[in-house]
Amino acid sequence: MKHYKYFSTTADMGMVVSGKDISEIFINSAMGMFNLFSASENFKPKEEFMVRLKGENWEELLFKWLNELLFYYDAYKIYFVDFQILRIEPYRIEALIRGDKIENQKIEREIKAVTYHNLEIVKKNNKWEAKVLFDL
Amino acid sequence: MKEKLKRISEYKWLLPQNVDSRMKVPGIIFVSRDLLTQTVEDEALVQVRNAAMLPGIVKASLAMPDIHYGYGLPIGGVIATDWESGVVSPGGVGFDINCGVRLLVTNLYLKDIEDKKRILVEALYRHIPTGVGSRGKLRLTHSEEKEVLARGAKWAVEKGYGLKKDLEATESYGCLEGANPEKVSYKALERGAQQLGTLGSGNHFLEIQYVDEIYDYGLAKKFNLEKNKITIMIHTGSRGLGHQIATDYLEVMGRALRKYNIVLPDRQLACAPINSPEGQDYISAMKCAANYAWANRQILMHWTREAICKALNASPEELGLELIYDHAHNIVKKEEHIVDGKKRILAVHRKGATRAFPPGHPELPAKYRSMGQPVIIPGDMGRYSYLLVGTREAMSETFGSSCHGAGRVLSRHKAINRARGRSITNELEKEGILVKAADSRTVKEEMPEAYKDVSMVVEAIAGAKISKKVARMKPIVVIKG
Repeated sequence: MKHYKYFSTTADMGMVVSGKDISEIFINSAMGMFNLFSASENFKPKEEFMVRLKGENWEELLFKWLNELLFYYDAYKIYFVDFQILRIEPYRIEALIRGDKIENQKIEREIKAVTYHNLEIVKKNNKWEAKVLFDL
Repeated sequence: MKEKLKRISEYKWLLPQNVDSRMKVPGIIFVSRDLLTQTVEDEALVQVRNAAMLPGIVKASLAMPDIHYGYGLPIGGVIATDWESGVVSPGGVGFDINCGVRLLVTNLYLKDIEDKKRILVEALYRHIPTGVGSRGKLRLTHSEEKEVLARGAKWAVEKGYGLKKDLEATESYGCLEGANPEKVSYKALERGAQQLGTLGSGNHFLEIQYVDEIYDYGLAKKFNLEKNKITIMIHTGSRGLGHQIATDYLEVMGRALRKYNIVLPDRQLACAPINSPEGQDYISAMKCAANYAWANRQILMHWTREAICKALNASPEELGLELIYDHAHNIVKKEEHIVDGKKRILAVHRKGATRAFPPGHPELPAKYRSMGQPVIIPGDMGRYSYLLVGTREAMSETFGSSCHGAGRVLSRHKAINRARGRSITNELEKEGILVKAADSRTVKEEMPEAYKDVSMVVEAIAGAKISKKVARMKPIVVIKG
């Protein structure tokens, strides 16, 4: 079962992400964003980057995390497939991310930015859920 | 929220200030009853209300007839804040800083190219970098890129992309003074380094069109437009560079809210006093993105000229490609306006709104001083786009601002469902419009019925006398990202 579900607004798109803990929220959000770019399975974890970020709350940290990944994607054309979270605590994250340079794989969509609009992370009944809206 | 609106006149609705005690000014929405009932989401009106809470906002939180739900400010939103005591908000500009349109006129007529559309669509598609993941033909070092950020379209013209007279026909002459590249992050520079001279994806496009209707013959003649004349429209912005600058400063402004004790209902509207280091830094960086976008459209115009000349085996003189105008529709600018009889210096935020200065405005180039500023309103790829000019009413009603386009009516998801089992490309070809895009999904998402009929928006803006119609253009060749 996929742990992210897309939704559409009139002009843009977003996703609702679920996970059993905060770590899964960050991993599943990243997977959800990259699957929006392309559903191709021809990307391999060839190139590796280290990401270290801090925020003032979980929402800000998620905003920064997705924007960091978007930066690598847009500036260096890297599609990430593997997200290994080394450390996560309020409100810091340290992760190893692995991906592949986009060559001939089909890219279906671009997003301009991750927005703060209605961005939220909530914990209900031992399950975490996040809502993120993208500017297409 | 809709039930709170009061009709002031046929195209003007008031969102009273007493709807929410936090509002510092009322909201005013310029829209027809049909648009209001059929297309305006309640959430967009909530965003008009939220913007009315910004510190230093002057007169009203305004929305143009193409208003729809955005982030922070609605799309079609216009707000002005006092330059001395007000705030600047990146969410009042949007992520695609200086997303804008450029309209060109040629010496050609429909009959000259009707049988050459296939050659033209292929030539443009080959020559203009488009589409998701596209990189340009240019590779800039960071120091070259900083030159672009500081000098905008002037840089492009000096490098041989077009002519000096093109700058005359560009808002702010294609360069905002005071752009400081040192206020732009390394990340933004990295994203921008390979994207100059690219169209991008989504709703960005390049179209060959012909004039199919004239509304003001006198003005049309001055623009060198007549029925069946071939025009070209380019719609794109500041690409990844602008998106990164907006993202970077959204974070800065989030911290500024706490620092300056500003309380807002939507973090996406985050702002800082114009007279603060955060406010000044954002304005300097925003100007860099605006300049990059003007350079981008200038370069794309040059490549369009090359591609068409080659495809038609014509000289640049025979093609006679002239820039009518280029303007932004996502920007914040320092402008002088009269408010309650007094001159005020304001930060006019236009998000999905176009500057529409009237005849006689000192910021207009000499050739348009008597006519008013050209206002270019793109529609969808199956119907039409419009050329209008700014009016005195725009100056007194909307801080010299007009609408910017049709606006979506179907979400992308709904558009794809609606297009299932159909070839939109073939449908458009039957109507004489050739479309080429990297992906059929883009064509489906961007199909004409996914958009409002732009004529409804234009009727409302013309009805409110905020702009005056000059001509309508129909697309015949479209390239999309």
